[in-house]
Amino acid sequence: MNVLAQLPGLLVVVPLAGAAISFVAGRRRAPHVALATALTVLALAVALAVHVLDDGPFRYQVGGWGAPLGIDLVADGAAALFLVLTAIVGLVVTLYATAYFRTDDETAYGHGLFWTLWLFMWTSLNALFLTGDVFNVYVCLELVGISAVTLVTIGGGAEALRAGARYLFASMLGAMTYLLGVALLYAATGQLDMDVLRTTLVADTTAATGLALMIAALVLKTALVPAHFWLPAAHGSAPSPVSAVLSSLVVKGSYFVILRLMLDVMPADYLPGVEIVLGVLGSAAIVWGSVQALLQTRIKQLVAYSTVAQIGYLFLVFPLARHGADVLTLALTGVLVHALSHGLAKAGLFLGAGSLMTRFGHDRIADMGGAVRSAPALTFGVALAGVTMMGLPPSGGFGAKWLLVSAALASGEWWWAAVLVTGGLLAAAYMFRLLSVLLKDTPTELHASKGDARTEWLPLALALGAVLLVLAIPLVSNLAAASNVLIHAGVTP
Amino acid sequence: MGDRRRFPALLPLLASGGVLAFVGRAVLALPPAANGLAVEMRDGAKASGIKNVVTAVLLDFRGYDTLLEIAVLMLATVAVLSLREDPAALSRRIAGRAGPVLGALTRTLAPLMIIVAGHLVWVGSSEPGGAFQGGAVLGAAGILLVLSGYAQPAWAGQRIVRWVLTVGLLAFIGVALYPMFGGGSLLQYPAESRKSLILFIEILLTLSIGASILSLFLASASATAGGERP
Amino acid sequence: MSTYLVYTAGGVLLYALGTYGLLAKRHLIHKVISANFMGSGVFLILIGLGNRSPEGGPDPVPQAMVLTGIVVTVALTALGLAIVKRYYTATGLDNLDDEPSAGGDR
Repeated sequence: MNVLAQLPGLLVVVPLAGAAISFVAGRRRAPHVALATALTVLALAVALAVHVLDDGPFRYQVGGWGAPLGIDLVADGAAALFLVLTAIVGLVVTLYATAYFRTDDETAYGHGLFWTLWLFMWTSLNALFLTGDVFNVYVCLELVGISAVTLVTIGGGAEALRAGARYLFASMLGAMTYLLGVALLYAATGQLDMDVLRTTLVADTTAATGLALMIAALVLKTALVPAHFWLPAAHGSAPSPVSAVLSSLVVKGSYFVILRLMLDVMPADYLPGVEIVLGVLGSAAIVWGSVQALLQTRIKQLVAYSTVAQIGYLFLVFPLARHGADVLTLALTGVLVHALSHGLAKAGLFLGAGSLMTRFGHDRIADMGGAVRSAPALTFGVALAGVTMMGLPPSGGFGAKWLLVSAALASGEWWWAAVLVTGGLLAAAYMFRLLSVLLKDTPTELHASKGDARTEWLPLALALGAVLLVLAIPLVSNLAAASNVLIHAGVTP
Repeated sequence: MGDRRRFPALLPLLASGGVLAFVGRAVLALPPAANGLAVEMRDGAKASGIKNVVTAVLLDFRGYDTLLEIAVLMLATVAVLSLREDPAALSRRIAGRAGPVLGALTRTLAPLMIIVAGHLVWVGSSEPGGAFQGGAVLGAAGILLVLSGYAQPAWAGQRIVRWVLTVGLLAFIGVALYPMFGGGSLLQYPAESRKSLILFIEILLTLSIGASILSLFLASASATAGGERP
Repeated sequence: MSTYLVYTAGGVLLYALGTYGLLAKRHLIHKVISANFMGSGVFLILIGLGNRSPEGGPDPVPQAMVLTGIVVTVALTALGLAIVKRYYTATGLDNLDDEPSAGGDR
């Protein structure tokens, strides 16, 4: 078997097999199955990224039929980048969960199924990053949605169930709207493959309505303001490893499909004005999310609202993409670096918040003084994640903001740069509010017994990764150059 | 809370009216005749040797969708199992014993339903039918047996049940991976064994789908119906 | 009016009705049923629009999409009902507008 050529297929089937096996393996062996799967998937994802960097993007014909008859997977630079991010965060979260779910034995039978649900979610994220078929996106989105909603409710508390129900209805609305969009798009064009659509799409009311519905549904699933109403409760009340995955990876799955549809599939101005609307909503998200984060009194709510804000940055690429190849390259590289740095830092923050909550036995920020004394590595990890969140140098967040600000200034539309700077200042404000308490040198009584080394060091590892990402920016820009967006825009020969 | 609701009351009306207007306009803009992919699919199905075009699309051309769809069904079953209020919920008695009419009916119907399920799977390659239809009938037979008091499965937690729930997906994954070793891609069935491989997957899938449907029913039914009833 | 338009119009109506219900209804079971209305609406639209083939015989692709969609909707509905039921047992509430009493099941 030529493993390199089979990587896209394996990246979906291996975690899927892991999910199935973890279910029959039973409670005690399921974590081992999950760890083995995580390591394998990480190796596969890194191999795919190296392969794409060496030989450029390639398509994988599932069933050997090829579009338009069959379903094709697309392995390009952008997909590889998200797959690697998912694999890194996935491995760390899996390790963290082996410690987290052991100490927290409330409603333990639900937790016994955590591993299966989590591997299903990983499968669906990988499938979503790879798929090149608009109907297959629907099936992947549902896999993501069902696993995400269930993982939110797995703690079983009233608050988590309420958040899960709200999330579920948002998810249902998104699913049905997306499917309606696909129905109209197919009726108008007779095609489902994104690449075929890219080359054949012509101006048509029905196709445009379909695509608009699909994008609206994906915006709801990505929780862009004002469709963010379900996110803070869901991300805030889920068990911490789940919050980490939801904030760091799940919202990026639907975002990635928007990126493909907006910048690759649709010709420029196919839906006139939509890129401006997305940019404005993104800016609103940055300001609104940050202000709300500043007002929160509970640690995970603060981190969840920070996600609402950070999602906003991802949408600034759309208005900037109209300004020619150079600005597009800068902006795309910028949002890809942002997606990576936010993915690592936010997972670190949520895992860190979870560790702090286990140690303190509550989630009130005001009463978390003195954390630095008894859990220095953990506090340092949270602080480092904060540095990249604010976009201070040297960090991945700084690199992302630098690229996006450059793109905004080069486009002549300076107001996007103003939004970026404001967002950084607001992030500094809410992170300092948290850190000023954690770094207070007051004696506290911590449940030291509940502190497992893994829960102290893994958040730090993720935060370090987010900071060191600044060194990997050349690599990210090579992957961006190997993405279909830039290749089809004629930037990369 | 009360005054918060007054404003959103407008939103559903607007959303629903917007759907009517915009989707209606989009539908009316369509030409009255279009082929979509019908011609390609029919020609492709002839080449693949599966007489029922829809089955060919589901299991062959778009078999990847179906693989993920099986994953969705199994995921939903695991999800509902994780939401049980009580781990022992599934193994409780759900209903009392059957009366003479229900008993006789069940004795007649249940074996018949199992045969119908088998028949649906078998004809799936040439006529409407297949694993989902068969699995639905099988699951319904299970529900009937449980409700009428004939079967009281110690359902959850049992390893054998977990295996039955999973075996369809595992077999599908195995068959999906198999062509990779011969240089093909995922789900690229070799021409000579295509029909038997599809039948093999379908039979195991029918079992798993039936078990899934029964579990979905039992997991939520047992929580309140409980063991209190006589 | 062609046959396909009758089915499609029915689908659009059903979908619009479901949208209203999902957003406006308070009771959680009503919301789950409304989402099913939306699903059935889309399925009708898919089947209706897939029946425009000039050469007779419907397009099999929308039919396959509907079959896949039905299974996904069954899965979503099962999960929805399970969550609604669990939420009701935990809080005694049948809607999301009322706050669960402090403490609750936690």
